[in-house]
Amino acid sequence: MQMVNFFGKKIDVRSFLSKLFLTATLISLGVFVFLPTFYLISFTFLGWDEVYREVFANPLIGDEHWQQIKGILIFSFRIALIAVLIDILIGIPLGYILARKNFRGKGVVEDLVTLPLVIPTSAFGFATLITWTTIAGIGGFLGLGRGLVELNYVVPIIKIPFLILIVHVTLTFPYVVRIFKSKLEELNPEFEIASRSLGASVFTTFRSIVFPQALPGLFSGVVLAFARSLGETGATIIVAGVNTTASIAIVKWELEFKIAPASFLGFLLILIASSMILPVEYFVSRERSISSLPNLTEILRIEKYLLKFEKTISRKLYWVKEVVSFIFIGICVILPILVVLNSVILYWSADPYTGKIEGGVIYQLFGPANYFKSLIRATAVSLIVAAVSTYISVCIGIATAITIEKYRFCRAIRSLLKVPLVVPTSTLGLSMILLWGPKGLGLINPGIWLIILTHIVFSVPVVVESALASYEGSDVEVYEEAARSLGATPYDVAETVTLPIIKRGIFTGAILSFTHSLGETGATFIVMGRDATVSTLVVNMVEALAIPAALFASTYLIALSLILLFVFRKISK
Amino acid sequence: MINIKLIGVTKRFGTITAVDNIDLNVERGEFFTILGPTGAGKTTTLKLIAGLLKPDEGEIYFDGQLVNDVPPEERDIGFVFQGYALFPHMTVWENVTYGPLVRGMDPEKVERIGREILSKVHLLERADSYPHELSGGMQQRVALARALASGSKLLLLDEPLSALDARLREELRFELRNIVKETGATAIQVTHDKYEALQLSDRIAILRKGKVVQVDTPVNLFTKPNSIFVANFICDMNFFEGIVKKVDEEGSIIQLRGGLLVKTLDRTHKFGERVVVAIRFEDVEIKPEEVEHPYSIYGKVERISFLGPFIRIEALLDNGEEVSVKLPATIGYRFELGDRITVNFEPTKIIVYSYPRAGLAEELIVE
Repeated sequence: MQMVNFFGKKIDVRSFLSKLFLTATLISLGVFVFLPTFYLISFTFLGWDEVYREVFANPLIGDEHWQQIKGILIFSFRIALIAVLIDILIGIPLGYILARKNFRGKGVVEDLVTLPLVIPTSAFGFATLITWTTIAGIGGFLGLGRGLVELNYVVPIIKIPFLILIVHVTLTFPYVVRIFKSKLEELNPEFEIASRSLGASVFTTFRSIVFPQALPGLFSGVVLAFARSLGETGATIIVAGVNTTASIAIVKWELEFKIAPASFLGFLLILIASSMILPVEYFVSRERSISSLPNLTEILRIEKYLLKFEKTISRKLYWVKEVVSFIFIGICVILPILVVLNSVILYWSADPYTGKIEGGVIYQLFGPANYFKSLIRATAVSLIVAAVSTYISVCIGIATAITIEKYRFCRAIRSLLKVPLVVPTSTLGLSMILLWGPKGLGLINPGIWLIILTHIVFSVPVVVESALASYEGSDVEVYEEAARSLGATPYDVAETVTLPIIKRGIFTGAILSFTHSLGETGATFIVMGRDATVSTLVVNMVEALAIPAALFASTYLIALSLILLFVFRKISK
Repeated sequence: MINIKLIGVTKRFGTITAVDNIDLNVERGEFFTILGPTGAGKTTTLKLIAGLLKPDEGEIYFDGQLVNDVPPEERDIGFVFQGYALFPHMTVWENVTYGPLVRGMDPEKVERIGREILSKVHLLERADSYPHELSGGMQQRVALARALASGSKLLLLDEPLSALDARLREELRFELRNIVKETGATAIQVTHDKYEALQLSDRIAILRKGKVVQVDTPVNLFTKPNSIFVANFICDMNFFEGIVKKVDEEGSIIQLRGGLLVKTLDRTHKFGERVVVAIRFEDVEIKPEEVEHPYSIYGKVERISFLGPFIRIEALLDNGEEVSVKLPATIGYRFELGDRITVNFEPTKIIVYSYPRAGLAEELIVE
């Protein structure tokens, strides 16, 4: 098809349209996703003089900020490291059970593993808090008359606050389990049968056959879990007590207008996150490089003893992995939710211990504080933000997914899109406000629009990834070629073949980004201005010590995410 | 070298009985094949022997020892998989020595075994390659070497040649048999390819719907199939329904559809009984014109297929039934489409079966 343009030159309409599509996609990706993600880097460089003065050579406090940043970073890294190690210990057996075993109630266990991904983190943090530290939780259950542990109880040896650790492990282990499990499912079970027929016990088979092949999956899961732990804000801010992690420090400093140290810390976090995810992406894409890893047990000359040991535990201790996994899920996922539900009922009309109606849920909701009104308003904000940001993300996401599949040179975008996923959300919020807000371009003031823009940044990668996964999982290219051979134009193909086939993947992505948006706390806190969302409202309630109101809001959020989980499950099956 | 015995073995998956009360006895050093159509329970039987599945009923003995509760890694078996299941993250050498290593053999012994077995399959110089760098035939040999490397006395082969193309498959058949026979291991093979089974095996068990139909040497199976199912599955045969019209010392006369009469040597069926007359494609006598004879049947050539050294002629008989005839190409070229022909069934070549309860068509289903 040909057409004449303004200057009388002939142009090919089809190639013109496809170029237009490509340009539009790349521009919107750049403006909405990559610019905010990487803006903090250039901001730090451009304002380096000021950053340097504030952080390293403050006339009053010298390099106190730098010392703080160092301390906070090391603290955050220690937490993330320990949390990830525990994730691995729980994630490997749990992933293996879910991938290889069939049992009654497997669907429920899978849902419970997904739950921490969709549950609003502030509500979950609050649930964990009351479960461990108050009389309404385990302590009261055991008849102690107080909470089981103190708020600031520090685990000996590793020296990490207990509550922060437990929250981080619970919120990050699903990444390890889910990715490791899907990698195992890809793996042909025949390899395991072959190994066992050659005389290897179940454990030996796992160590020498399954594990090396599933290692890429474990790696990507671990990196996501690590990044998530570094960036976790919503739950941490509630259980942190006197401690400060990197993402909380950014929120705090931003609220205290200490922009320079906040942006420098954010800059470091973005650098760390991208330098972690990009090499792993590369490593994982070249799967065979893993086989070149040396065999440790042979080097150490313990192979023989190991074999015997593995044989014994294969026979006698095979049940341990099931028991440990299920106890962990029970205590860390189910128990907090039950405690919150139970407490809401207990506190419904009045404080059950003092009998004061001021301590009851009803009084706080409808009394002078009128939290009910703020809750309704916050719900409206949350739903609008989630709906609008999801809609825009789906539009950009579909275009991006098609672009990545069609143009070879766009493949790198896929790896780059992993960066917004691992950038700590409070850092992202800071970047957003510096870019669009009054101190930057001055286009958008903190408020609902800035929240929407922020949520788009981390929603687009989720939509793109699940659309691509379903594209690659269903041989779409064959059908597209068939459609082209039957005379369909590229546009017809996209509309009648590609989109209907990957519809399910897009739906899954949309639901995930909707729930993510609903529960996001770290970035929203910074960019929300006066338009609080439900998840940030929970944080505000806890800080205002309006515990019954927080209980109600948490229950409400958990119920909402359970409904979404149900929808998610219906669609992804 | 061990002997394997299955007594009354049954395996169910939910409501489906995959293996139904099977008895098998595999002799020491025998190359035994389990042959049957898809879904007959062949692979399930093999997995039961390997210990990868546990029987719901019945006993499995290795050399007189009950092994029902022995896990696969302690049964000392070699298993060759349909897709080979070569570990992709290990080299040929690592794959082959995996069994000896995990069984805790000394490094020197492992080294020696690895060399020995790889040179036996002519792949020593490819020891450092990864499986994906090898051709299909080489991968097959690595899989075989790996299964044999731990010195197992029982080799289980699940459609070992099916992933190869037709020509290579024929070449490797004998190599497979030779290597196995050299090691002296007892081998149990599962396949749905009858030519493979007939060429390779010492004895064959025919499985159908989870039950053993016949166990015999290839020659006996071919010449004396004990049922219509086996006859149809192993040999290319024509089947005609009929009724016994007369029985005497010489044999019987059977009336087919349309009143055609066939003379047979069979005396096991009574007068008036419903029977099925079976005759191999290659045993049908055919003449390119109408010849008068008491038991002649006339027809017309409907289709001619050229099979290289043979020609298959399908003809429509005057009674409305079809008959297939296989002729050497040198004779077959005389026939043309539409020719009138005379067909004769030689009484010594005819096998007569009782009419099956489920009907003839049901017995002829091989899928």
